[in-house]
Amino acid sequence: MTVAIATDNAQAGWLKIHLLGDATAGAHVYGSILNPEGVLLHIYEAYFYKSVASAAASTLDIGVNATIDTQDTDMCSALATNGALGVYKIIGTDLASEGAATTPRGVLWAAGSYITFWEQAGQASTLLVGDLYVHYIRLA
Amino acid sequence: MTVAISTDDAKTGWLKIRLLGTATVAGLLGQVANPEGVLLHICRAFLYITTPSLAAAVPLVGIGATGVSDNTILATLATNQAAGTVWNVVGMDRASEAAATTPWGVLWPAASFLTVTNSVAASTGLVADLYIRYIRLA
Repeated sequence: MTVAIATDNAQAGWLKIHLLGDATAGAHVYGSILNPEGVLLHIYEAYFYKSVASAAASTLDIGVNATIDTQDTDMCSALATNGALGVYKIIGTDLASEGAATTPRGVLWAAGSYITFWEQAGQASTLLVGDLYVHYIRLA
Repeated sequence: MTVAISTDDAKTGWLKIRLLGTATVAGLLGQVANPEGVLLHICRAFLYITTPSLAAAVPLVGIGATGVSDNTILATLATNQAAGTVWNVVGMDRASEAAATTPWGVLWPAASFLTVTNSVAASTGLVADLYIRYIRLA
């Protein structure tokens, strides 16, 4: 399993999902995280921290999907996992008052659905270490 | 009462205010007193429309004295949107070091109210929740 909810430290209210690269070539799923609350959630803020880059030019898709291990890009599409390390904004906050909070500026996460992580470029992502930090509202 | 603080489930730090529409075209739908009794700064808010109003009602939402209309939080958003949609309320399109004033932030004094005043058309059918995050400036 290369995708899992992390409980290693105090997260100050953030859901932290740990991602590890793998040696698999070809487009494929890294893993999926089931909605942890069992109710409709609204993701309004998220960051991806790339702490160790992949050796090859793999790219990352992240999204919410009703089916486990299914490619989805409503949170992130083809983010390079090699190259510069750092923190990347995943949910845009460049949204005016009274604007619709829809992708890429907000994503609904239905009960029973998943955040899925997908390797898009067909490259091995060996060495990659990253964490997705998510803030959400319980719409229940 | 058509505007009230909701305590139905865990809110993970959000103040949830339930809005229910009425047949009133223009007038106060309801209000909520400052729940902390100290000056607050509303820094983030979303409106979740679970059931839209039948007509294009525009609730004016803001901070004021009891019963007084104000639109510093919402001014133009019609509530006959698609069911199950989330709308940004406090603008986040603001650079570092800019003033966090309406629509990018709103002060909520200790003894004032968040008031909801309907306008334009009746809000019959509306079921929505206003989620608010604030800082205690005290």
